[in-house]
Amino acid sequence: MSRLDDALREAFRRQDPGPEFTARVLAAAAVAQPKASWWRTFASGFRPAKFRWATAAALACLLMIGGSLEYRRQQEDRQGRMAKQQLVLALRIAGAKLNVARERVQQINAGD
Amino acid sequence: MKYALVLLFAIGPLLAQDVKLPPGIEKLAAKASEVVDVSLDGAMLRLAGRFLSSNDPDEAKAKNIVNGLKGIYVKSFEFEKEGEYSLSDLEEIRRQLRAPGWSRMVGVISKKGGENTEIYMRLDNDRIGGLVILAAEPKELTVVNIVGNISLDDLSSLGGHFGIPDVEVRKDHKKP
Repeated sequence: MSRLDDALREAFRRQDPGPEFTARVLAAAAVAQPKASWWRTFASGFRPAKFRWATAAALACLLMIGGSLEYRRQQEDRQGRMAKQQLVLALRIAGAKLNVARERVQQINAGD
Repeated sequence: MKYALVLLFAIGPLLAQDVKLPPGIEKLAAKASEVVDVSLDGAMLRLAGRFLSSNDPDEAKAKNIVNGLKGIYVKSFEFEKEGEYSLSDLEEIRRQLRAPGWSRMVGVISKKGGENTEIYMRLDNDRIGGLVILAAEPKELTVVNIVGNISLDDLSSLGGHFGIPDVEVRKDHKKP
């Protein structure tokens, strides 16, 4: 055998890694693992099917509430504009009739 | 208690409107060629007031008027021919306006043209708490009922706004 063979055999000789080897490997793996994003963490909470349904139901509820609020706002807007038109019409009629009376009083005064 | 509440809700609008239109006048709509019916209670007036712009001078004035009001009720009928309404319908309103608190401010009766205009007001603690205008022409009948505090200045400011021509009233009159 040459000295090279001996060196190789020595290099590839089995060695006991020691009792802490497993713990060291696991610790190294934990450090090397990339940190999960907040979204992934958040989404992982909804993985079970029942959570997905709950999320869908909550979103549907939010959409319905938002829709009904918007519908109510539009309805109030329409009512307000109609009320304004009616008010302007009422003031116009009241003012016109008032002015007719004032004009007559003025004419009567002028005739005195 | 329940009946009292029901009664309160039933007569509430009548109290707010104060002057009740007789059924005869309500029926005139069938004969009229044109009807204007405006009925705005306090809540509707507040809602309308929110849509009046403070930047527009006319609307700002109207907003100011509306602030003290509890209701505006207008009924106006235009007829194709004369004699479609009876004076007894108006008499029913006048009867209500003879109640304590009401006084006739102006009464213009034109025998020639048949155009009569009467203005009644109700005083609440030295302030005008209500105003009723009865304008009867041969082919037109108008009843305006304004409920709430309205000053004479506000009344005057109604003229010249929203396209209403302003009529100047001379406060003093000197004989030549």
